[in-house]
Amino acid sequence: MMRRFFQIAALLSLALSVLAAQAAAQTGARTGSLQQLSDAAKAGDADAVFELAERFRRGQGVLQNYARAADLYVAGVQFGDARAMNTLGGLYISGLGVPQDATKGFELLQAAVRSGEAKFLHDLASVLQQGIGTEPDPARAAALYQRASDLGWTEATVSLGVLYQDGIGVEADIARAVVLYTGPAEAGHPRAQNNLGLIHVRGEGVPQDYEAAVEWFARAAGQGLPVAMRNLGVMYENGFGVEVNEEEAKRLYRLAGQGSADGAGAALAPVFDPRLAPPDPAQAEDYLAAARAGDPVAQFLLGYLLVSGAQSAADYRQAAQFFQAAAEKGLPAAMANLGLLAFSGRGVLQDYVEGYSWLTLAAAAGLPGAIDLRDALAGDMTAGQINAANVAAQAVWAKHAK
Amino acid sequence: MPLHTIRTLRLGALAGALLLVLSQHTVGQETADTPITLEAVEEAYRAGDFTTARAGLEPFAEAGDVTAQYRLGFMIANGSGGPFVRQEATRWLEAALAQGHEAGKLLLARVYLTGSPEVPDYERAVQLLEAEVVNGEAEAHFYLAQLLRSGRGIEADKQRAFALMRLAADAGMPAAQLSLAQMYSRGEGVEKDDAQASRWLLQAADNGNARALMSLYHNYTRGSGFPKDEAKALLYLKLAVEAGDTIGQRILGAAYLTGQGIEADPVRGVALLVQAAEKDEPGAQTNLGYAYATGTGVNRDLTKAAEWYRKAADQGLTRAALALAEMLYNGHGVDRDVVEAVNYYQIAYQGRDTTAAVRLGEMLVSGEYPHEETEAGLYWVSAAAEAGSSDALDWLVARAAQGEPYADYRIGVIYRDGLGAEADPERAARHILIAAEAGFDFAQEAASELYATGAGVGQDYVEAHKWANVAAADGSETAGERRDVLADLMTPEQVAEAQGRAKAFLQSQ
Repeated sequence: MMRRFFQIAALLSLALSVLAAQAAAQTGARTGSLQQLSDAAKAGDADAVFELAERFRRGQGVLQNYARAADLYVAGVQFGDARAMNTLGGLYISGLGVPQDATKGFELLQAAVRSGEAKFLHDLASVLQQGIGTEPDPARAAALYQRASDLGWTEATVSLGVLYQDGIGVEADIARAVVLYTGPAEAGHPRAQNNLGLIHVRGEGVPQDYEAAVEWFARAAGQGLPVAMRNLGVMYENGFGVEVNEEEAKRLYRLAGQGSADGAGAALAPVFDPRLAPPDPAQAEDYLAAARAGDPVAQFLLGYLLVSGAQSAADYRQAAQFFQAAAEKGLPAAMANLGLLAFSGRGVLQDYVEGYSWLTLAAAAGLPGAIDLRDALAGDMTAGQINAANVAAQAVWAKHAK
Repeated sequence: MPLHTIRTLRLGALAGALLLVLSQHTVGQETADTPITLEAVEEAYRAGDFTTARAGLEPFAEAGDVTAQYRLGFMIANGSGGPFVRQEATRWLEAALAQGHEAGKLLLARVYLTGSPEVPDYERAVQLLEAEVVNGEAEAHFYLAQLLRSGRGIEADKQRAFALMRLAADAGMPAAQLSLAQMYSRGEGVEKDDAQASRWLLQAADNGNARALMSLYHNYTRGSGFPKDEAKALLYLKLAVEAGDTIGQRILGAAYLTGQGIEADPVRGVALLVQAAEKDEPGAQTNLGYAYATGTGVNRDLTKAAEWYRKAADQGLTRAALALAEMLYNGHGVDRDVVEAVNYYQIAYQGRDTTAAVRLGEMLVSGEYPHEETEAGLYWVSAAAEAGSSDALDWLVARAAQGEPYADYRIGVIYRDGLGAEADPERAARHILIAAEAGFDFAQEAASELYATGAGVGQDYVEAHKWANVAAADGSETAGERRDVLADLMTPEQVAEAQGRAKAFLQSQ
């Protein structure tokens, strides 16, 4: 087995920070129908403009469209809305809905911090640390993390801990890092847990304690942090704080290699629409008759039965055909499952654009959980693919609306 | 006009299973002068003239003589004095039973269980056996147990099957003891118990059951259930052969012939092989063909060799088909006959014999192949090329130039693996990629492998991912795994590019 080394979990992925965390902060800001929001936005209501942009960005109650969202954030920026600046900055850095332009993105993130929002301080610090759209400036990053941390933004606290642990932009101070990590780690923050585990392995600032390290790695790995899985794997491979267990080590490395922090493997399991009656394998023949007659629900149920007990590539190919037929008739659950097959490349060509596009359509059609599923699978995609998927979904939607 | 008419009929008593009844009554033939008496029938039976006895019983049976009906059914069922005809056997045994002759029940059940040519009548057999089970007949226990195991003629019931099998085994029936051993070893209808399984297997073997003895031979040979012990294995093999086991005769015969695990004794080997071969055992026939072809244990005789090979080849045995095809092609022991040789090469090819494919490919290339070329032709010529025939390789190259992707793929494999020609990675890659572009799925998977390793092409994960993805969409599971492994080594931008190219490729198809 390849020699492996311990790794620190340095940064929160910027895309995750800018594009997902904000939603948590802002959800519920405005309610109302799309039409009401749209009318209010046209009348110059800045909150309505922002909320509408958020709906388009998330694809909530509307077909996801980053380009439309970006236009609305631009309007928000003109109102001086710091939230719009922060989000639009993220879009420019990632190239979603707009041509990628890191410098412009950096400028927008910088403009947003004037509001003094903790999250915006954190995001700016993060790009300063990495030198995205600007020269790296770890000292300034540290100062901004500190401000955000003082305002109670946990991500910033953990990222500041990393700077103290590695002595980047500040004088190395392990004891300080331990203090910064401990609160968030005990509260369940995976990066803090992993890094605290690492400190225990090395015995820096604390007595070396493999058992404690294993525990911290395990807690972080249990939350799906790939770095932590790999670190835990090293512990098992070498028997640090645990019995040597090469099988377990291999399993963890493999799991970590699959990448997505959200456990893309699990996310690829077929999804069912809770609003439908559960499928009954004993009725497969009835479903088949109805499916052949063009009934989309029967087509979906049959596809679902096929993928749920899939034994071979042939089962997936059959299922894909049934899902396709039902999806084209507008059945959300069929769209989602067809998307999942396209993501995993089972029964159809693997094509993330296609997969994302079908999940976007399923989300807009109101399938519960489709948005989270789509975002969990988007981790391996480029902005170009997501933009293309937005366009592809739009084309299907337009055809369907006719 | 009926052949027989019955003049008088009075029934006597049956004296023992194999004895016919003596009576004063006579049955005469209208056309004949002398009447047939049961006395005469009995005389014929005692003298071993079963044909006369069987024919003589018929008029009495027709006339409703219950004993004659049973006797006639019995003789037909045993094939004595004429062929076994199931319909006739059941007719007379049923007739006797209908008149209250209970002794024929078990025999009748056995006849109903006989397969060819009619389909076994399991339901009627079960009815008859259930009645005999009540009477405590061990044989009935055994047969019913077998039906209960397989669920034929009665709903499967492993527990009851076990209970009945145990009764039959306890009563000393070797076949039942063997079956009981099986049931213990599989945990069928009873808790799995290897010790009991061994015990009953040994019991059946002690009683001279050939299959049990062979089972012990296999167990000692492989060391399954018992420690491996070649001496004991050989002992049981010899005992099985003594009990008349056909497979045992073949195995022991072959061992004597070649001297494997035993002191060679070709003459004895041939004698055993003849016993099995005459019972139509194809492996023994093949070995006997080999003995004649090489003069091992017999005088070399190619004609006889060909005869035995043919018997086995006609049963579909690959080795024999190949040997016979070679003899026919070369005119050894038989008249040279290319058409027939090709037929037997094809039988061998169906048994996945590579040499047969190579020969067929060579004949196709040389123009000796007497039929229209089929799809398999490309495969045969490829096999010949892989075996080193440069003519075959040239033939493939010509086919590839005409746009046959399979030919390109196989040429690619030949140059890639250095089979039949010196390895040439660049040339291999060229051909494999042509076949992949033409949409041949194996070639697409091979193309992915080329790009992943960089053999003959520049290493390129994007192309590797593209081809793996295309092949996976075509249903290859290994290609799907390859694609996912590659994705772990690639950036999202590379994966995006690869997926875009795969999509474009499929759209261009």
